[in-house]
Amino acid sequence: MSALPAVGPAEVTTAEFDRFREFFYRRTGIQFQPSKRYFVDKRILASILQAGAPDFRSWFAQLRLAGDDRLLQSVINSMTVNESYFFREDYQFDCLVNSVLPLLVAERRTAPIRILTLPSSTGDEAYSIAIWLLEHWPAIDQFDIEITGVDIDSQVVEFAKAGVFGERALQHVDSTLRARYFTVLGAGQYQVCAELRDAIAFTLANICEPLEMQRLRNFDVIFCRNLLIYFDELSSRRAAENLYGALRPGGYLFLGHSESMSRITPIFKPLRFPDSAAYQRPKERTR
Amino acid sequence: MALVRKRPGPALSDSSGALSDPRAALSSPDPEQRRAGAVMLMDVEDAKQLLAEHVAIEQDVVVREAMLTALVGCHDVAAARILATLLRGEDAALRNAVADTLGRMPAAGAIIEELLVDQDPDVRVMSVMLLRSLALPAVPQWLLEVVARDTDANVVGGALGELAEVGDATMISVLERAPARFPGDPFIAFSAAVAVARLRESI
Repeated sequence: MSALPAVGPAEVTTAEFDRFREFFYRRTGIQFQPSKRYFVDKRILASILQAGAPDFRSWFAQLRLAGDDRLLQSVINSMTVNESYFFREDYQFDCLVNSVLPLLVAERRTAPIRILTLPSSTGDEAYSIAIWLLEHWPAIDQFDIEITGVDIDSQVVEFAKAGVFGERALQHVDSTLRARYFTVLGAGQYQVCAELRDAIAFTLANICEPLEMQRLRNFDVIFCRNLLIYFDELSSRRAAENLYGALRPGGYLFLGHSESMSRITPIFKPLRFPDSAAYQRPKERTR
Repeated sequence: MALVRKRPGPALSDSSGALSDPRAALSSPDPEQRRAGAVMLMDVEDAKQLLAEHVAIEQDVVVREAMLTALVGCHDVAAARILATLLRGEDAALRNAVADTLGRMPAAGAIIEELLVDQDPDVRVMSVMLLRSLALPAVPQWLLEVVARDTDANVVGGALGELAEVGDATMISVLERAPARFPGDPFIAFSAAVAVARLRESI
């Protein structure tokens, strides 16, 4: 008789769920409420199977070993939400072009303008910003723009670099823009043109980790949309500190429409532009 | 499209700005260095006391906020004790920020009973305020003791307000007696009535 096929446990107990979510929160700042139990359990069970662990206990021990970064990264990848599409909440791109960039360039005529998007997910937002600037900012020929995308999920960072998207992600991209910036790969797949892919840097970092975030400095504009809503108060405050550190004095921050930095920390100055609200790292120190 | 430009070898791998000694950075004359030091010490439990000491002397509000954020979740009682001394200060913004942080430090549970009987009523008011966020099972009982014993109307009023949120029906009789200890004080009478009505609703 042959050996039984490897099968993991059939379910995750409440105690195991609690242990995992506590561990995951400490490592990523992301907290799963009990309402997310089904979502989390399903991914834990899949990871146990994939890791070849006989049960939760061995899998969890393996996960917590500092040496096994690959397992932890794959769990982070599976637990993070990567739903995104081009030109999402595009009124903020209008705000960038109509209000923020004119203010920035009025102050600095030579240095490149640096824009950070995080979480960059599969790259939709970073490419959207690039296209939006090329299409809507008349002064683009006069300035160098650097766009960087950052995400905690290594898999989506690779997706973003490849720049291949389906119809769903491109639902708000008209045929003119598709023809101008994408190559049709077939079967409803489109790849962002090489010029744009080469222009945008994508990299891995955890917004709650000071050591990882200290590499990100001197950005003029940060888009950090629909991320802080997943964080508890402490993680939000830590993320806010790291965003502050990544902005140059006077730099601007855009959050998602339902998010408010004023509820998290007083260190940013809230601003109201005609197209959107934003936050600014003050230019001067406050005493 | 050449104007959308990727930096050759993006600055992401550049660690030149990394702090070699975050503890020493807390004493730097450069506020950005002090702030960066505080951020880098967020996960260093044995640096909490040092951070609390620097909160006491830090004049830059942004740096101070980073230091206080680094102290949230802290279990170091000595650090909590240092922060608690700042509740006596003249700076209202600092007092509020410190109370808010202490309310999010498990270590504050070890000193809260001392603070609730402090000689300075302003310290007691702030201590009642921080109980709002100090998620410990004893919080309702501490508040009840304040209502039963404190002689300052502002302190008792604050405790009544909190008990309206976190109290239970067994506390109603103590709350009902509070107005008699402050005859002619409409604020206490009103706060007690609201709290009692709220707790009755929860029965």
